[in-house]
Amino acid sequence: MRVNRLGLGCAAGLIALSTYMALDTFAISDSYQNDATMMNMALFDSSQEAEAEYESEADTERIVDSYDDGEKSVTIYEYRVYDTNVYVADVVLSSSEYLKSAFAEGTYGKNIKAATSQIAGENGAVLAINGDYYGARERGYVIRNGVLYRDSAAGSDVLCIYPDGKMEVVKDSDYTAQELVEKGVWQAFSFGPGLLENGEITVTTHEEVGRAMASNPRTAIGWVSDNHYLFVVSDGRTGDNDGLTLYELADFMKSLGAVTAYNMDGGGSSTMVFNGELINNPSAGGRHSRERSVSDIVYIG
Amino acid sequence: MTLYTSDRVKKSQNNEIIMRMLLVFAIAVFGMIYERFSHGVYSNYMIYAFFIPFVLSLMPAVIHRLTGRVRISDTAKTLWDCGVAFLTVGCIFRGVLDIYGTSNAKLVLYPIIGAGLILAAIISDVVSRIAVRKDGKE
Repeated sequence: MRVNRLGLGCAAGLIALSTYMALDTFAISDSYQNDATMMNMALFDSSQEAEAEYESEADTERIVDSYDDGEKSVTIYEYRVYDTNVYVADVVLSSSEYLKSAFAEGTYGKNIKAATSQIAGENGAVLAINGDYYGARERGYVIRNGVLYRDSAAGSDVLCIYPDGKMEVVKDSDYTAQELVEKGVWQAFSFGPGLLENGEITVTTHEEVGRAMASNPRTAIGWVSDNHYLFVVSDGRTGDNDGLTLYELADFMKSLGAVTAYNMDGGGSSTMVFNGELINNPSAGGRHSRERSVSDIVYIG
Repeated sequence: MTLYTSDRVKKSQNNEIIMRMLLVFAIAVFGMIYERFSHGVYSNYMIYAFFIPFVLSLMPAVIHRLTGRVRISDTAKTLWDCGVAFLTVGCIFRGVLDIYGTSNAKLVLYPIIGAGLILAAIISDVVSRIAVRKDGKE
């Protein structure tokens, strides 16, 4: 009888621990910073406005939509590559201060999530894509709108966007988050890997994100020239869309003329929203297209 | 009478081996099905989770059945099985988080508790053997 009690006690403990772990990982919200909407605009005091020109080297299949207010120009293209629909937002800005990021509910924390379209709507975004989903991981630099939120390295590539309209991919082992702030980084994302550097593909045909070894929906950001960016989102995981491997994504972005490119959170998270409308077909809902709630977005606004 | 008891023990051990084998098989199948629907995202923790009960639960039971002479106390056996359960569930949980693309530092609790229980099982068994020897001498 005593032994049974011991076994039952252990089983109860195991169930209790697993329930707590599941709730702690997926459900319990924890706000680290409630008002995380600050923008360090002082970074732009000395930066010069760049004159960007649109130069796409790839064959365009279809122009979906466009926007131009003199400061921000966005043109959405749809391509069909590798049996996959790929949506490209060609973004030309007068200043990278218009390339912003936002947290779900304006709060930096764990398990605080909202759909990309919802966060985009709350921030008046013209164009938005999902970010690096920092909230799903406990490490990785988070610098947003010039403000440092997380300084723990994850051993990953970090995408750095600067106020002068430049973009580079660095290793977090080479710089501390504070050093990146001192370098004047406007936005830093920790997902990766980097796809292109100096116009050359930096991933192998077998390289994948962590443990993803197949074609998937993807989200990526590319840099063509100062203040000229490419936001790329691909469909995938459906009968009509295979999705892209990292190498295919890198190759496609190279064909568009990107010099630097970086892979963001993909899979069910991959979402592009333009003027409040979903552009791609997010795969979070299985057979039915549905947006996944994410921690953060990158947007033009 | 001795033969009868021995047969009963062997039958009980056989049943135990079958139960443990089914458990290992169920965990392996669960891992395979989970991987099948994970959109190509794989986790070694999920794929090889079955290896923990295979090595720490099934193999000792088989060895015990084949050698058959060592008597292990029920308390030690229960603690050992609980330890294996914590290690296995922790491994599967890590696989789930890997495939989802997230992490949780508190996962380390599973191996700590699991290893603690296995250590407690070993200590418990050693203590009970010493007690049995003392009783025998007296």
